[in-house]
Formats: sequence, C-alpha cells, structure tokens
Amino acid sequence: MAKNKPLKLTDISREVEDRLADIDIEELIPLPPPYDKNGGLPGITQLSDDQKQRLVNNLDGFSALALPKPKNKEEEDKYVRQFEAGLKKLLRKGDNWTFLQPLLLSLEHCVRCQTCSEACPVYIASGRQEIYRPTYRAEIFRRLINKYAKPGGKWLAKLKGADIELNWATISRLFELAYRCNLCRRCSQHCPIGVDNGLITRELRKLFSQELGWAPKELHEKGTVLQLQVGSPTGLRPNVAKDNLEFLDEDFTESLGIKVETVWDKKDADVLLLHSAGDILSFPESVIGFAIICDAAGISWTLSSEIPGYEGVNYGVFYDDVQLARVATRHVQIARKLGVKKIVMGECGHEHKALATVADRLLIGDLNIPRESFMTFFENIVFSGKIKFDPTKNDFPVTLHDPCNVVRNLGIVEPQRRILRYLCPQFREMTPHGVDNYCCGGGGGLAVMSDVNINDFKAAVAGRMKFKQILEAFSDHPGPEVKKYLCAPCLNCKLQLRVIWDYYGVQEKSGIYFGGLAELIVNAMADLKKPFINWGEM
Amino acid sequence: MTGFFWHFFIYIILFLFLVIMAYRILSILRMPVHLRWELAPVLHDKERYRYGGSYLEEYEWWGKERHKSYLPVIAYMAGEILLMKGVWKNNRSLWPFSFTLHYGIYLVIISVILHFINAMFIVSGTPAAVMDVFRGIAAVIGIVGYIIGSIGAVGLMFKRYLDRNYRAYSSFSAYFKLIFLAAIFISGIIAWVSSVNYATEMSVFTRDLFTLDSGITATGALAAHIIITSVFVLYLPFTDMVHFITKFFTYHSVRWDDEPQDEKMVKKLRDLIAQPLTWSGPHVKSDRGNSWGDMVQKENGKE
Repeated sequence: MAKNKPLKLTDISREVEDRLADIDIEELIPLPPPYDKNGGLPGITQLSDDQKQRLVNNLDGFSALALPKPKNKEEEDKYVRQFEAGLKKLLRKGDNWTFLQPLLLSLEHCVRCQTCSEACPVYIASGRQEIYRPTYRAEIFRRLINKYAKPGGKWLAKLKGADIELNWATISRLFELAYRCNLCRRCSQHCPIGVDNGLITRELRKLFSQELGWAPKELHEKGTVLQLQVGSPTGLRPNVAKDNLEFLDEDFTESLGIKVETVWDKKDADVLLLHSAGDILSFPESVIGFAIICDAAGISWTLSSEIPGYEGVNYGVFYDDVQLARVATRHVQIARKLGVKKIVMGECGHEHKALATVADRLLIGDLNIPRESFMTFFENIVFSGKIKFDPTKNDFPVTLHDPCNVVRNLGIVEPQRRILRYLCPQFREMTPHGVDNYCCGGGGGLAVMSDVNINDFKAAVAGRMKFKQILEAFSDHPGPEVKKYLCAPCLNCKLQLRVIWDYYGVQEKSGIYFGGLAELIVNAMADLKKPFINWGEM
Repeated sequence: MTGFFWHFFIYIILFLFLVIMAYRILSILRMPVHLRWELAPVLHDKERYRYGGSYLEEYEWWGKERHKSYLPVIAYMAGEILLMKGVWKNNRSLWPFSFTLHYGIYLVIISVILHFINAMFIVSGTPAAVMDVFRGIAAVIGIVGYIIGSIGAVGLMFKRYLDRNYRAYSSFSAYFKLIFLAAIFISGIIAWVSSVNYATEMSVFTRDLFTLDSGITATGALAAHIIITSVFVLYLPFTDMVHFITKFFTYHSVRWDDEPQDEKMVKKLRDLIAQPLTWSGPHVKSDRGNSWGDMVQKENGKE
C-alpha cells in the first residue's frame, strides 16, 4: 500500500501488483452538511477477489476499464512494443497531423511550475493525491516520448535524470490513469505557458485506441462502433427511436393538453435537430421540450431516423481521431441528404465540441454544413417575441451548471444566462462559473463509463467539487422542503449528476432536481396551462 | 583573455543561437494545420473576451462579421511578461521567485543593450557627461538584475528541492538550468564588485567586440561572467526556456486559434487527408491502405 507515501514518477513502472495509491474517503475534501459525515455514505466499493484475480488493479483501487491481466510475458511484451510504436506515430506528420503541433508544443515547453495542479477538481477533491495531479501522467508521458520516440532519447534520458522504464506495469497503469481525467482543460486554462495537459491525456488515450485497440468498451465497442452500426451507443435503433418518440408525443399531448408532434426526415427543413438518443431514453422532457419550442416559434425542423442521425454524441472526441471523424462525417452527410439549412446541436456538450470545432477542419467541401448551438438557437427564439412567457412560473431557486465542452471549450457563455435571467426570477450563479466552472466529474467520457467500481470514483472524487458548489449555490435553502432546479444543459453532465444523486441521495436530502434548459423555457410559456416541470417525476 | 578569441567565441555562439532558434521556430511554423482545440477565453474576441465568450455566441454566426481586437491580447501578454499575472493569480507561492528570476533576466538584457548604446557613444565621440549617465544607469540596472536574478534562481532551486510538489518532477536538467542561471547572476555580481568601473569595462568590451578590435580584453571575474553567459546562450535553445518565444505559438496557434476553415486552409487539409493511416488498431483498418480521405469520405463512416 502506497497511501500517503511520496510518489515518484518512476513508481509508474514498479512491480505490477502494487497499487500506487489507495483512496481513503476520509482524505477527500469535506462537503457541506448533511454530506459532511462520510459514515452515512456508501464509501468506495472494493474489487472482489475474483476481479482482483482477473483484472489489472495496480493504480488506485478503481477499475474503469476492466483490463484483463495478460496471459504471459510474451503478451505483455507485445503490448509494450505496440505502445512504443504508438509513441513514434504520435510524432509523425502523416499519422498525427490532427494534433501534432498542439502536442509537441505542450510536450516540449512545460516548466513543471505546477500552476495547473490547483486548477484540477479531481486532484483537489481527492485530497491532493499525487497520481491525479495533472502533471503526473503528463510528465510520465513526456519522458516516455522523449526516451522512446526521439533520436538519442535513451541516452539523453539518463543524462537528464528523466529515465522511466517502459514495461507492462507502466502501460497498464497509464491506461487506467488516462481515464482519471475529465479532459475539462481547467488545468490548461491556468497554465501560464499555454501547455495543455488535457490534450496530452487525450493523445495518450488515442495512442492506446489507435495503436493497441484499447479503449473503454462504453466509448468504443458499445460507443462509436455501435453508433455507426445500429445508430446509437444506447442500442436504440431507428425504428425504436421513432416508436419511443411517438409514444412520448402522445403521452405529453395528453398530459399538457397541447399537440406535441415530432417531425421525422422532413426534406429541406430549415433545421436538423441533433439530440442525444440518451435524452430520448433518460430525459425525454428535454427532447419534447425542443419540439414544443420549435413548433411554438414556427420553426421548420426535423429529426433524422437515419443511422446515426438521431444520436448526436461523438465519443471519438474523448479517445480516437478516426472514430471522431467517422461519426462527425456521418452526421453532416445525413444533414446534407436531408437538404437542411443548418444542424442545431442539442443539449450535449461533447457533440458541440466535436461538430462545432474539433471536426470543423475534417468536414471540408460540401460536408461543411452550418452548425449551431441550441443555446444561441433558443436565445434567438426566446427574445424574438414569437412566444409569450410568464417567468413567475419558474419562481423557484435555479442555478446553472456550465458544461465544459460548451463553455470553456467553445466560449458559449452568455446566451443561456440571458435566457435564465429573463425566465427564472430566482436564478443564481455557482462559484466559480462560466469559463472558470468545475466539471461535473463525468467529462472525458467518464459519464457513460460504469464498469467495475468506477461510479464510486465519479461520485466520490471526480464529481465532488461540482457537488460541493451546487450545494453552496443553494445554501439559502439547504433542505428538501424548497424544491430547487439545477439547469445542466448536457446529457453527459446529467448522466453524471444522476450517479452523484444516487450516491448521496441528493433529491431526498436537499430537494435539488436537475434537468436541461429546454424544460425551463417550456415551463415558462404563458400559453401552457399545465406545468411542464413535474417535480414528482424527475 | 585578449584578442580574437572573444570575437570567435561570442560571434559563433550568437550565430549558433540564432540558427538553432530559427530552426525551432521554423519547425513549429512548418507543422501541419491541426484540428481546432481552442480554449476560452479567446482574447481577440473584441466584445466578449472579458467573460470568455466567443463568436459562437452569435445566432447563425457564419453569416456575421467577426470583430477582433488585438488590444486585449497585447494587454494580456504584457501582464504575463511584465507581472507574471498567471502565476500571481494561480500559484502565489511560486511567484516571488519566478518574478525575481524573470526580472533578473530582463534587467541583465536591458543592461546589455545599454552597454551596446554606450559602445556606440564611445565610437561616435558622445560627450562624457552623457556617457556617464548611461553608464551609471547600466551599472545600476546590471547589479540589481544580478542580485534579484540570483535570489530567483537560488530560491527556485530550493523550492524545487524542498517542496514535495516540485521535487518529484525536478530532474537533473531542471536543477542544472537553475544552477546555470544562478552562475550567470552570481558571476555577474562578483565581476561587478571586483571591477573598478564595471559599466565602463563592459562598454569598452562591447565596443571592441563590434568594431572587431584586436585589443579586446576581459580578464578574471569579468571574463568568467562573459564566458558563462555566452555558453548559457548556446544552451538555451535546447531547453524549455525557449517558452519566451514558443509561448506565442501555444497561445496563438492553439489556444486562441478559433479560425473556421477557409479556402486556403482547405487546400492544405485536402493534402493532409490524402495521407495514409498507419495506426495498427483493428478499427482503423490501415491494412487496407486507407487514407484519411478514404476513411472519412468513401467509407461513409460505416464499419
């Protein structure tokens, strides 16, 4: 057990079975009451004997990836050789033109000033566990690149005193460690030099995926691969998606007393709405809310039932350039086929990041169809005068979570705030907020990863800073007697919040409910006779 | 040491420094267009930079004119270069040493420039009263730079060694760099103290250097200081200390690069997309000789 012992960078390659750290819930940063007494909380699930026997478990007692132990030394060596080959490919223009310049700039100019550390919510919330420090994995990766992928690297590594051995222990630990980061890039934002540890982590993930074929199954096999094959990582096929929404249309038509109708595959519509299919299954009010708003504003809109045109997620942005390109390309090809004027990206942060910016330079020629955030789309509708609003319908405490991929990464900060300030009389900000926000703890794909005991990491560690600031934002009404609304306009953030809510029992103890932005807009519509936000069913 | 040794020694080092720095900068400039990876706040966004907003906040942004302003960019960079604002805000305990080290370097560079001006004054026969003023300023700036630079370099060395947040990340080369810097500053102090008139000696040395005067002379502590500083100039381009230049690229070419694709860029992108993929992951299917273009366009994203 390495708990509380100073950790060296070279520890990453030490004896395989030895964990680098054990996370003690008592060492995590304290939460406000009633969550300040850890005794009443679930704690951290330990791996079973069987899991310990089968799975690699040499990092921190969590397993996000359920990586099986290799059968023999030959298998270990094969992976090590593949990893070394991948290090070299990351530095080649042909193989890695997509991120070569940002990667090299970040690898070669870090001065190890550690300014980034205090920006990282995972590192801080963990009680400053060394393995979660943004520079821990980045510096190891940098030294491996310098030693194994550059000419004279082995000799120079010894000379500089920066020698880390590449072995099975190193790569198996790095694989897990790459998924202890939310890729929120708060650390990058704080770096005075402009070094991006979030990017370095993503490049590490990319190496594992593109060279070794290693990626979390929720992101790859059951993620991008399933999305391209059947339409959605949820497994939702086009006909089932249509059936589900038909049912939801009827259900909401009945409960609200207005006609709700989802439009499918309408040629030459102005707008292709690209939701996340997870919203259809888990947060249908969001999808229905969009339909109600668009119809009320007289928008010509449609959904697509073509694979994967009803599923806006793009997990490639978390781990793999090839899968990122495939999914993004399919999305715009579908829009082009429908003849729409623009794609409106739904309440999904990484969909925004993928389609609005990261894939922008992949979608060239006739693939370059205009793409817009729902934030600006909604703002335009709300302030157009086409819909009458009665803000008193939203007269309950509301705060806003800023999804990193929309706010810090794209700079879309104010449209959603202008809507909330107009429609929600008790709107209040979290501290910090906007581009300085904390990640929900589900960023970087963690929100959809649930293997072994990683949910405990997400709830107890990664999401801790966010949970703390949510509670503080509602500190004037801490109990469950006043119902409060956390606006989290991103599917992955909501999935992560659900993990936190289940872990801590937030709804029962604090009366905080979460949902998207569309729900608040619809709830404030003056012509709607019944409330759209149904606290009892959230 | 006297004579042409100094000319060879210093000019060759300056030449090598410029060549290596140019090579490093050109290597960065010649790297391919990369995918967008901007990070708010993007400071050239004229109105919105204050809160981190971008042009993507505009409804149908692609039809709107973009409003850029470089004043906030210049103000930000000035704050970083002159005050180390980022470190002050986010890493206060490091700031005193970082600030003094950087200011030590700035002041030494300024004093070198003043020595050069004084050398020009000597050549042009400027009245002694004017030269005295400049020499006095150069002498004061030089010694202040040496002293605070020493404090910064030694302080950072101790911080790296004593603070557990830094120790594990500090390789031999990290200490070596600081020792080298400390050597420049401390040798500068010794040269300054041991000289009867340090600024005059330096000005004369500089004049002889630029006029290729064979009588050029520097001995003892001054010679040691000049040699240490010159060797450091040669060492500098091989280290992460080139961030004084490359920081421009980490900000302008990555963090603030929010340019949507344009015609010129698309031409480059087409060439990049035509390159073959050699990654070995089974899903990449590089064994089929796929290029990025094949993968993105022809496969239609279907597995």
